[in-house]
Parts: sequence; structure tokens; C-alpha cells
Amino acid sequence: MISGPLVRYVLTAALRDKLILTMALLIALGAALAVFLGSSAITEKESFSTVFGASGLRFLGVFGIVLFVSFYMRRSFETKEVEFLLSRPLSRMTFLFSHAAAFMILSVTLAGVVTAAGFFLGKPNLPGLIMWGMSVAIETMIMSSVALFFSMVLSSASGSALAALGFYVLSRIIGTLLGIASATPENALFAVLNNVMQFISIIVPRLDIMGQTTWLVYGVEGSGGIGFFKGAGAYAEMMMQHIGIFGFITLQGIIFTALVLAAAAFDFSRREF
Amino acid sequence: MSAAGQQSGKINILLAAAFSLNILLWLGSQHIYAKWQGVPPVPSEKGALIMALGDREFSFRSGAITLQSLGDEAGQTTSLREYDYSKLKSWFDFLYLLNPASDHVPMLASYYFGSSGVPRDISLIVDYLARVGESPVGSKWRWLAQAAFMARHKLNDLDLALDLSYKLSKMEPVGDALPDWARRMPVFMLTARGEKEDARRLMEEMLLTSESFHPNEVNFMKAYLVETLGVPADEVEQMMRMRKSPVKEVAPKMLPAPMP
Repeated sequence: MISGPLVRYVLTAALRDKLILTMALLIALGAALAVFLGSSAITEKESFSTVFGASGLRFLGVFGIVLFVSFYMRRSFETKEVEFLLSRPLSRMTFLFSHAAAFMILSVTLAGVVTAAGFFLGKPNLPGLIMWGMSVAIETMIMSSVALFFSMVLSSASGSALAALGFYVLSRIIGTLLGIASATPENALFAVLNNVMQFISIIVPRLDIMGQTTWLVYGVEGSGGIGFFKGAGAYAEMMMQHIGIFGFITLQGIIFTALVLAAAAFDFSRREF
Repeated sequence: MSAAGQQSGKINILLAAAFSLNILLWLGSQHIYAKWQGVPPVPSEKGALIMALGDREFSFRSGAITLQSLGDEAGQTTSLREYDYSKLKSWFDFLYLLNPASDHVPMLASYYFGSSGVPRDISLIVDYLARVGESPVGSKWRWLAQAAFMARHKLNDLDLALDLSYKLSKMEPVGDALPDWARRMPVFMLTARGEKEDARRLMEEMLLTSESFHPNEVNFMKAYLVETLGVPADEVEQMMRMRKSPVKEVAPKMLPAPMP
């Protein structure tokens, strides 16, 4: 299902496009800016640097992978590279999953560099940093799959990049939106909108629970933990009790990536060239 | 002149005109800056989380650093008199809601915004510090001590200072030990109110019952009783003989290396 040469081909393309070099430079620049901003605080300078750096670099990592995936995939379609590759003894699914695997390798690499930068930003809580790094790797992998999906179904590179970044923003604030939706509605319209929001949230991953910068300052144990909205049933409590926060993050990474890739496969298998 | 040369000439004129206009604009714009509009309104918790893409800690840290540099944009400084302290208090409370563990905002409130000379403003700071200081976690008690200090010396509100120092003296912090001077704070407040008898009783009670005071602390308390509260020295000595436990000799601690 996954072709090694094709994965290497995509990774070579990433090197050729200077993705890693550009991202390394941007990460170094972002880290320096975070240290500068943090050092202006009257106290807790290291915490400020860590939080500013981690938040900014986390976004930068996702931004970089989304742009690369969107523009690389659209370029591949426009230059007939996809058709050329599919003319070889290579199934459509092998093509898709090999690309997804290559983008995931890039995502993990980027998350690794971001986490390493986080280590040098201040004095982060070490277990918190490890947890944060793994969580950011999963988050970046999810987003690379989402960008792959949008670049397969939309015909414009900037359109698919914007759609993927819009989806990312929605995924990061979905917890707050669900919190608002779980409140008692003021009128019938709000009740309908609350239900619409809850329905939409079925296909939105909870990235707000992932990569919490609080972990870097106070550790995973020292952060607030998981709360439950009003009306949360026994299922939610039992699920979190059994799998814990990292189990949830891992499970969400696996399930959501599978969902997005299945959707991309559904579209790609019906595409006519 | 050829058509290409004429077009090139027009482009040069256009470039020179645009550059000249830019200089004209710059002559004015180099002297202006965006005027500070005062303390901005406090966002809602949900609004702040959405703005920070759901990152609570980032929302707190960016809010805290904004508060720190509030009014000092574009190289300008703003007098503390020009700040709306009721809005500042809302910012303090809001940031405390986002992160009750950090000491950045209490420190900012205490040592920077607390420098205001307006009693109404100081009372808002004291309210905030007292609220933070009532948290039994770690060394948060020191903000309650700071609130009592500010109530005593900046507000001259001895009743409030005494209330706060009683709260402080009864605290049992988790993960930290309340120092002896904090336990004794009501004595100082009572003395300041002129209630020397009450202050004396409280100090004597502590001196008689406490087992953990350092000999230097005991000497300070004895001197305070004699010199400030006017208790005869022989009475103090008699009380020392009534102590339940003798004053233990404690080996002097090594001083830490000086910090750069």
C-alpha cells in the first residue's frame, strides 16, 4: 500500500523546495523573537519565552506543512506529474498513502525541530515538553492529512491552503465553541445554532486539548486537566478515565487521520483524468 | 526620441514624482504616533481563548505582557494617574482567572501600578492582592502580606490592614511555611492603631507558646516588647522563664552566593 521509492521521491521534493531549511530558519527566528519578548517581562521571563515560542512555533510548523502539501500537490496535478506516476505500475491508493506517509514523516521532523527549539527557549518542564512534543507531532500529522485532503478535492493551491488553515483555526477553538453551545440557549435560534455547531464538531478534531503550553510551564500534572461540559454523560467520563489525556490524543490522531485519508481516497478513486 | 525612450522618460518622471510625494508625506509622518486610548476593555474569557486559538497559557502570557507595557507604546510613557484603575482591576481579575499560579500580574500590580498616589486606586490594588494572597497554595501568602502593608502604609487604613494581617497570621500554606514575621503582623498593626495592650498580649502569647522561633526572632520580640510597647524589661525576662520550651541555639546558616 505504501511505496518506498515514492515516499523518498516526495521527501526529496521537500528538500529540493528547501522546506526543511526554510522552516529551520523561521523556527530559529521565531525562537529568537520569543526570547526577546519573554525577556521584556518583569518576572517569570523563562515562562514567557517558553509559552510565546511554543505557541508561535507550533503554529509555524502547521503553517509550513500545510503550505508545502497544498502547493506541492496542486503543482503535481498541474504539471501532469500525478498522471505520469499513475501510468507506472502504481495504484491510486498506493500513490495517495505513500504521499500521506511522506507528509507524516515531514510532520514528525518539523515537530521534532519545534520541540528541540522549545527545550532551549527557557526551562520547560521536561515531562511536559515530551508530552507536548508528541502531541504537536500528532497535531501536525493530522493537519498534513487535512491539507492533502483539501488539495485533492479543491483545484486551487491557495484555496486548499486557506481551507486547511481555516479548518485548523476551527479545530483549535472548537472547545470554546462547544462550551458556548453547551450553555442554555437564550432563544430558539440559538438552540438551533448550538445543535448545528455540535453537529459540525463531529468532523472537527479537538486540537484545543492537544499541545497545551501550560504543560511546558507547570507540567501535565500541574495543569488544569480535563473538565466536562454541562450535560456530559457517563460515556465521556468513562472514556477519559480509561484512556487518559495522552490516550485521547493518540486515538484522535489515528482515527481522524484515517477518516481524512479515507475521504481523500473516496474522492481520488472516482476522479477522472 | 524613440517611443521606448519616451516611455522610459515618463516612467522616470513618475518614479521621481512618487518618490517626492513619499518624502512630503514622510516629513509629516515621522513626527506622529498612534495615541494611547487608555486601558482597553477586558475581553471575555471565551473571547480571549478564541483570539489565542484556544491556548489558555498563551492567552494569559500575551495579556500579561500587554498589561505590563500598557500606555508605554511608541516610546511614550503614561503617568499612573491617567490609568483607569477600575479597568485595570478587571484586567487583573481576568488574568487571575486564566492563570492563578503565576506571580507576574500580582508583582506588576503591587510594585508598578501600586506606586500610584491615589488612595482609591490603591484600594483596588489591595483588594486584588488580598484575593490572590488568600490562596493557600505555595507562597501566595506574600501577596496578602503586601496587601496588608499597602493598606497600612499607603492607604493608612489601619482597620483594613489589621483585618488582612489577622487573615495572614492564620494561614496554613500548602507547600510553604508562613514565616514568623507574617504570624506577628497583627501585633504591628495593633501597635500602629495605638492598641498597645492588645499588641502586647498577642506578642506575649506568641513568645510564650511558640517552639519554632529562631533565637534572633525571640530577641527581636523581646526588644519590641520593651522598646516599642513599653513593657518593663524584668517582666519580659520573667515571661521568658515561663516559656514552655527553651530557646534553641541554631547554627548560623551559610549565606547563599551573591546573585549577579
